[in-house]
Amino acid sequence: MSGLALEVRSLTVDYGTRRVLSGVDFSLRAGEMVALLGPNGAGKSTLLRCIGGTLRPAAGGVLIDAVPLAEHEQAAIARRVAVVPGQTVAAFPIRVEELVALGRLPHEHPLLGLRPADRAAIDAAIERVSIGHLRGRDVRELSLGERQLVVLAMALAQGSRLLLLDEPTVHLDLRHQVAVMELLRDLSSRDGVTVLAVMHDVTLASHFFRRLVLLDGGRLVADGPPADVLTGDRIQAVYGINPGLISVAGPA
Amino acid sequence: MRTRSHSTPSHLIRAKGFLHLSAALLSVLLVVGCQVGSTTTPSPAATAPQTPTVTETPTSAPTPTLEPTATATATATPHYPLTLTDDEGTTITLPDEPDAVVSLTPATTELLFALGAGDKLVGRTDFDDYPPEVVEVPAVASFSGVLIEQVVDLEPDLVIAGGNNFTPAGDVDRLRDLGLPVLVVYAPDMAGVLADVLLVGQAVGAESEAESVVGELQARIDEVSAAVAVLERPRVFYEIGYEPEIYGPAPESFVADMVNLAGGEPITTTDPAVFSISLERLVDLNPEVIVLGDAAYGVCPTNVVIRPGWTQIAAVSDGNVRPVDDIIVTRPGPRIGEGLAALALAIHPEANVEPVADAVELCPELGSV
Amino acid sequence: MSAGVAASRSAVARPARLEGLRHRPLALGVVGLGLVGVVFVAGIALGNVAIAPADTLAILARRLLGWPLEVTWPASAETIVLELRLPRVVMAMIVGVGLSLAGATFQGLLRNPLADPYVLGTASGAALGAAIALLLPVHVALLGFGLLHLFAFVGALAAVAVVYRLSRLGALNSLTSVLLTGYAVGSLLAAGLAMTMYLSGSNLRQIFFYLLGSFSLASWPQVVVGVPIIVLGSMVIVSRARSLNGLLLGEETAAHLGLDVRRERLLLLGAASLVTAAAVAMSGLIGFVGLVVPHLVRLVVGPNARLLLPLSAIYGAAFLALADLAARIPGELPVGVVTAVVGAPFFLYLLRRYRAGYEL
Repeated sequence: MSGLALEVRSLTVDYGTRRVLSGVDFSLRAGEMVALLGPNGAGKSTLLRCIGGTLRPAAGGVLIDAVPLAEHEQAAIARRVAVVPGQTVAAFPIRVEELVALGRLPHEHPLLGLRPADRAAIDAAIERVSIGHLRGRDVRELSLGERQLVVLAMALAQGSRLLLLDEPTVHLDLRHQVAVMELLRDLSSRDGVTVLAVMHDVTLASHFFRRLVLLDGGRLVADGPPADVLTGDRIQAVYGINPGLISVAGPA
Repeated sequence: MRTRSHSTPSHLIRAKGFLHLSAALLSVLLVVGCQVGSTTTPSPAATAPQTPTVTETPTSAPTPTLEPTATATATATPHYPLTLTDDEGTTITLPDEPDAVVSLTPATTELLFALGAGDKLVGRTDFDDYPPEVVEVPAVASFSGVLIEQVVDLEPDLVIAGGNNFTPAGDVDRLRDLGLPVLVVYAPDMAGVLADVLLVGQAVGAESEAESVVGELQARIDEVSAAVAVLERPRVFYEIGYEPEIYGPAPESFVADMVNLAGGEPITTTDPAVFSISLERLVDLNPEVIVLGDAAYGVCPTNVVIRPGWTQIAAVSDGNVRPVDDIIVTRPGPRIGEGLAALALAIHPEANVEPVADAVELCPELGSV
Repeated sequence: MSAGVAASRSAVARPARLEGLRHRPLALGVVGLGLVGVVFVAGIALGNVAIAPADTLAILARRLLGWPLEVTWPASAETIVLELRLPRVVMAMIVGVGLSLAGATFQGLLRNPLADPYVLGTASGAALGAAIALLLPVHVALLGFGLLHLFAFVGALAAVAVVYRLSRLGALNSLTSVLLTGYAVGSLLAAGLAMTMYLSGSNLRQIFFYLLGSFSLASWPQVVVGVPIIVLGSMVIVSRARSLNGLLLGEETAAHLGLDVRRERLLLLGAASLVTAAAVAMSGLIGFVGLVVPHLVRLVVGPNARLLLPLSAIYGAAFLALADLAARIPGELPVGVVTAVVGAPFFLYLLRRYRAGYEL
């Protein structure tokens, strides 16, 4: 499938008088896997919220599958975009399969609720993320890594073609970090899901993502393969540290 | 030692206090209501549609503070169906002489027995304790309200309830909605008690008995008035309670009226809706006599003298602190005459008043009241 | 995380029977309805006055179904069954439905397991309204409702409205601020209530019993007016089960799952507040029903609102009608006392058992 899955055009967002994003422009083709990088306060999460449809920009717009987001209502957006939140807070005991089932909300029948097709999608998502062994467990009793996988499964169950992730590896141990990254790569290359992930771990991002978008102070400062984006000067300018760069040959 | 069938004294005190001491709003309405219902028609109600009024022939003895606002007809034969207006101005029609009466106030229960209609009583309240035979009658009301199911089951011809929320207004309405005739009685002062005796008497077909009860009461009132008229009128504080605050009569309340009739100047709280009085105010007003209405709860003169700061009060330093049986003083029923006498003797021990019949022993160290 | 070991332990320790029930929500519903039926019959057959069960059934058959039966019972029995007990049981059940649904809604909306129908100041608003009504020297009775009911209803809704405005619930705002505002407004109103009670004189007892809740004055006119309001609000809540599910992980996630969060929040808040206000206006402040029933149901069937809401409604109805029966028999205890005596220890037990689970 060719065509632009996601287009961000001159996106500008203000929080009160503070300009958080100015004129951000980039686009993703279907099946691309892109990491969004930048220091704290660069506007990454804000950008993600705009794309997810929960924040209205002051100027500019977002197009999903060539249709402007503003023309969609929330339910329609949910069928096209799935967001994996960075942190899950559940106030009540909820089981793994129940949480994953929430991903089918945009597709649920108002009266009947979950139908066989929905249940199949839920099961498929659980299998895809390999958390079948966690069925029946209370999500709040899981480790952070396991919880992140569950939330990922929820987003997968949503069946959307565009997957947004907000710092998916923050609390994870190495094993789970790699697991999530490999899963994303699989989704992108095998299933053609478009993936845009806000990453805080530059090293991890540069290893697993073929394309990086770098934000600084609300502006897009670089967009391209890791080698081009993460030069010593640029890292110094954006992150304020003097990095030592090591090139590792490996799947990128 | 007498027993009380209700719970902790303090909220009984409060309940009684609220019953008698919040007359400001309602007393105006009630007095107006009584006036409306008591147009003095000289002819007895011989024709059915006309509302018979409860009239009383004016007494000849001088009673300066007693002005009956209700009157009673002296009909020999009760005429049913009977239409009556109760103390809240509601009109009730009784198709026949009631055989089964539910009384929702202790005063009414006593009154029914005094009128010789005790055998008609089929239901009473938890607090009814006089005469002793009432305990055999089932209790259908308590502090939490009226047991409506029980009342309905008794199939009464008449229910007599207490005004000013003694019987919760909601329960009165409910009983009326269910088709029971409910007469609400409320006596804000002595005159009101006499009026209620006649009202109840007429309702149960015992007018002549009611008149003789009123006559006896009036005689006792006159006796007391005459006896105290020749004496000084001291400032009197009637203590209703002491913890957690000092409770006394509100202005224009029943107790204040009683103290007045008993030959004292009542010391009252500042407002008809207020029931507590500060020690400062009490000391300032300096009562010459303190009557302990809470004597039955164990508050005796010996307790009073040791209260911090109270010795500055004239009554305490002069030893004029005396207990009284508050039930007969404050219960607006047939023993109110005895109550007045008891109060008068508490204020003026030397007064020329017949002692109270069947007096209850209070504070034994002083001897009986 | 050590929770892993503890988790597997609890998963194993979870009684198999409970697990079985979880997967049979329909059976639970049927049992619940059966319980409702039993309590309904018991509520009509039992009371302070003994009426033969045969007579009770005969009265119901004759008056409700129109069967031509010979009257062998006294008129008072008919009055008791039809005018006193029947409306009372009906009202207790409907209020039980309303409070349970409102409680479940507020718990889900505010994502707080300690939320109950009164969390946004409804209780204090209603109580203050009722107290003011009792203070006024006006005695109005229309259709079995007095000034008390009207003022309580208005007071409850006004409190919610004030909390809503003050916490600016309109914006996607912090839930903590909503809860705190609700607490603050509630406290303010409670202060007003204390003042009113002080000034109320002889009406203090009435206010006191209103605060404890009671169905003793339930009558058909009250049922006719109050029940439709609660039923309407309840239907709205149940229809929004999907939204409550979406809100389980927070409002941001709910939006990402396709919910119009603002609209759903308003609908749920409005419906739950309406139901609570009507319940409180009719029967006073009855606690623990809205808190404990949803928790119990959630314990068995999980947080899925499509199951939680209907089952809470059913068991809420049975519970409150049963509590009312228990309150009636010893001689008109306020029903709020019974629900507290049953609910409070149970709630403490809940907290102890699921302590690990209620951290936010």
